[in-house]
Amino acid sequence: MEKKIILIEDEEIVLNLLQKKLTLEGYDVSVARDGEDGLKKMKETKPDLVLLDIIMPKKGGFEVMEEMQKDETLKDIPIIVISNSGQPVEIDKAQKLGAKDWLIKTEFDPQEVLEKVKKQFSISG
Amino acid sequence: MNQELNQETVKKIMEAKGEVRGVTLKTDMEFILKEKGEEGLKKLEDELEKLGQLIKFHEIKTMDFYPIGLRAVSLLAIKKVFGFDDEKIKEIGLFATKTSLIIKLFVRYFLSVQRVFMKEAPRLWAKHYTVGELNTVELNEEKKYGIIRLKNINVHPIVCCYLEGYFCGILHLIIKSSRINSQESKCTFRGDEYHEYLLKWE
Amino acid sequence: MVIEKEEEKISTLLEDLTSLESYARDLFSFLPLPVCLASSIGIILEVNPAFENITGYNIEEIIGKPIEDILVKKEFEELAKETLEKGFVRAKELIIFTKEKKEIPTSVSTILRKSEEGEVIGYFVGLFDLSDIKKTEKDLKSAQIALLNMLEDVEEARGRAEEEKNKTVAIINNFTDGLLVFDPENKLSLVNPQAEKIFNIKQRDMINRSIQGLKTFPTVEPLALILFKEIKDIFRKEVQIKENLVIEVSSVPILRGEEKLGNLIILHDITREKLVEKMKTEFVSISAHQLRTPLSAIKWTIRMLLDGDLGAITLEQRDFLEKTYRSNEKMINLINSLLDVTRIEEGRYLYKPVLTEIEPICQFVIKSYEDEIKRKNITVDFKKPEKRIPKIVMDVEKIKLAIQNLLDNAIRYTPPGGKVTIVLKRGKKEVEFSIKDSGVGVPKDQQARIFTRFFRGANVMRMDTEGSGLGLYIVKNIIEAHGGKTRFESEEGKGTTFYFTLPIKEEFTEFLKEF
Repeated sequence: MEKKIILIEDEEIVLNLLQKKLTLEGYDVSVARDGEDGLKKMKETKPDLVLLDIIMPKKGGFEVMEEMQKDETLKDIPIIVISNSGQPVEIDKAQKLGAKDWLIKTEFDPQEVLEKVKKQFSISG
Repeated sequence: MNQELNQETVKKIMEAKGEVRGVTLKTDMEFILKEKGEEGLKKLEDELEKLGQLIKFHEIKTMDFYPIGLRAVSLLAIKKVFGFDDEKIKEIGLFATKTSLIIKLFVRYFLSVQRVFMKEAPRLWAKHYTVGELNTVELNEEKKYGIIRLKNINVHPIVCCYLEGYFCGILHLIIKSSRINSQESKCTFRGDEYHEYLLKWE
Repeated sequence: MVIEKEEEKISTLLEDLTSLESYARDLFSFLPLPVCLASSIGIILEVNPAFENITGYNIEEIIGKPIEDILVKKEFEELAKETLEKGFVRAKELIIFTKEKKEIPTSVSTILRKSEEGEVIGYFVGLFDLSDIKKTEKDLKSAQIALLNMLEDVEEARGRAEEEKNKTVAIINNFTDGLLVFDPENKLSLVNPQAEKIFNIKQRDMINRSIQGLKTFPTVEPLALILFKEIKDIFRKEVQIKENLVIEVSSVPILRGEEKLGNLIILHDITREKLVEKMKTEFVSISAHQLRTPLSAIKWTIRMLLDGDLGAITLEQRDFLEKTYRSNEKMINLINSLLDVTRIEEGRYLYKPVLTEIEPICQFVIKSYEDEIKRKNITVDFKKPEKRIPKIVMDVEKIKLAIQNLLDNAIRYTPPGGKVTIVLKRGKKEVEFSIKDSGVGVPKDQQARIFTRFFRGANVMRMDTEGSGLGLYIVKNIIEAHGGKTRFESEEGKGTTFYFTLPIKEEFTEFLKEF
């Protein structure tokens, strides 16, 4: 079965690129443009992995992670956080809130994304 | 008197009686020194020596008494040696009043014309000469003249000449006038009894 | 016998009289002061040689003359009157007339002469020639006038000097920069109002203190610290006084010819400039950050196109896409360099020092440029010493970047077929890295600016328009932050060799302290 990934990102171009790349790789990708929408879709589809932007309108990444932790059905889903700047402060906080890995939006390239996604799937099985 | 001046004539003059104070000779000397210098004085002394009178003028003592004849002889010798005229002799007389020590000592008494004529003139004479008397016959201060009389002295006419100047000089010391005149109006050598001098001033 | 005795007496008396006469005459003649005796009616009766001299008259001319002939008539009358009344006149200034009618200023004194009976018999008149005194008076007067003139001039000059001083004081007081003057003993001798404002201390509290003494003021302390080391010559050193007050300090020696009169410290407020610079940096930082994401997106999109993820592409499309990709990469590099520079400027260029070897870093960087090296057919020679190079404390990423920038430059500015030599040497206390190329070199007149931001040599600008001019600036900063030094040698047309050294620290902790 295909792995389900939910992509929660407010910047359209990034969203499109990630979606395209992951889809080409064979994953089932659903998208949300903000945290609120993201949580809703998460509850519906129950993905295997969350790619979560931090800075978003309506609900930001940290809030989403906090809510996920409170939700029994969501708290175990692995999260890869997409950080705008890669500031250690941000990364640290994300990790504390349960993020397993991170991507730096301004630096990542498609290869790196695929590797990190594959890594998460290999860990979780 | 244009007698020739020689030893004999001098001897005669020297016989005159009386003495005169050294001051008169001193003043002669001063005049000659002023006019002719030491050389002139030397010439005078030489002449006097020739005439038989050895006089060292510098050694004359002002206050001392000398034969009255010398008074005339000195003047005569001066006249001869330097060729002075009577006017010049008068000048010697006038000059003498300015340098005479005795006059200087007397000057304190020259307080007024009146006093000089009446009181001091005779005294002054007596200070100089041991013979002769001088006194004032007439004095008119308003009209500005005075007449003085000199008695009992006949040495030589040259002295009369000298005295004209001398009296003039005295008056200069008591009258502020530039024109003072004296003239012998009577003279024993002219046959008068005494000498008289008319003194006028302006 | 009696007569002889009398004669002796007379003789003695005569002698005495003569002596007395002599004595009186000498006394009178000797007197250098003109004296005459006048009768009570004013006729001159006696004069001394000095009197003859001053009046120009001979004795025989003047005796018998009225004394009023030599005086002004009115003055004589007053003189006579006063003499008769008081008995004397002392030092009355009168003019006497000589024979030649010349006027001589004299001081006349008279004394009445009375007989024993009290009668006035005349008076003595003494003259004192005042010609010399009058002349001296006149000279003194001239001198006095001259002196007054001089004083006036001096006063004027003083006035002008005062004016100048006032002008100077006005300038100093109104100067918009703070001014401090230290005397040759390094004591503060002048503080202008602006300086007072800067330090928030009154002039009277600062004046005459030594630099040590000034250190006790917290606002002055930062300044005192740099002055203490080098009051000789400071040029535009930045000192932070308080949170929003940054001063640029310069010192100028005050010289008069060869003599040093002290030092002038100029305090120029650059808070605003610093703020503007900060804003600029922030702006660049923010802009660069903003640009990164879109550039990343472009990079990724083109990558996907080139990888065929979005469908097959023609050769022609491939060609254009590859060029665009490379162009985009350059932009991304520029943005990254800009961000590095802003971080350096904001002091946010953080270092993570570790104790490690430098050799592998060099190898890594050289390897990463393999393609470019091959493409340009450049020979790269890496020489390491026989002896082992010890581990150095450094931030690996940053050193990697530094070496990368240097190698990038070497390759970029060396024509194809050229040679690049990298040498690692071990010194006593440091490790030296050098990279030599056979490239275009740096013109002599531009060598001083090579490490400055955005600087690119005129010769390379013509050759390759793409460099950012930031590379060497970043290298210098990185190396210096490690406690190392950078330098270079270059000859135009022959090539350039860049050197940097990194210190070998004995104690790790000591090194850490510097970070």
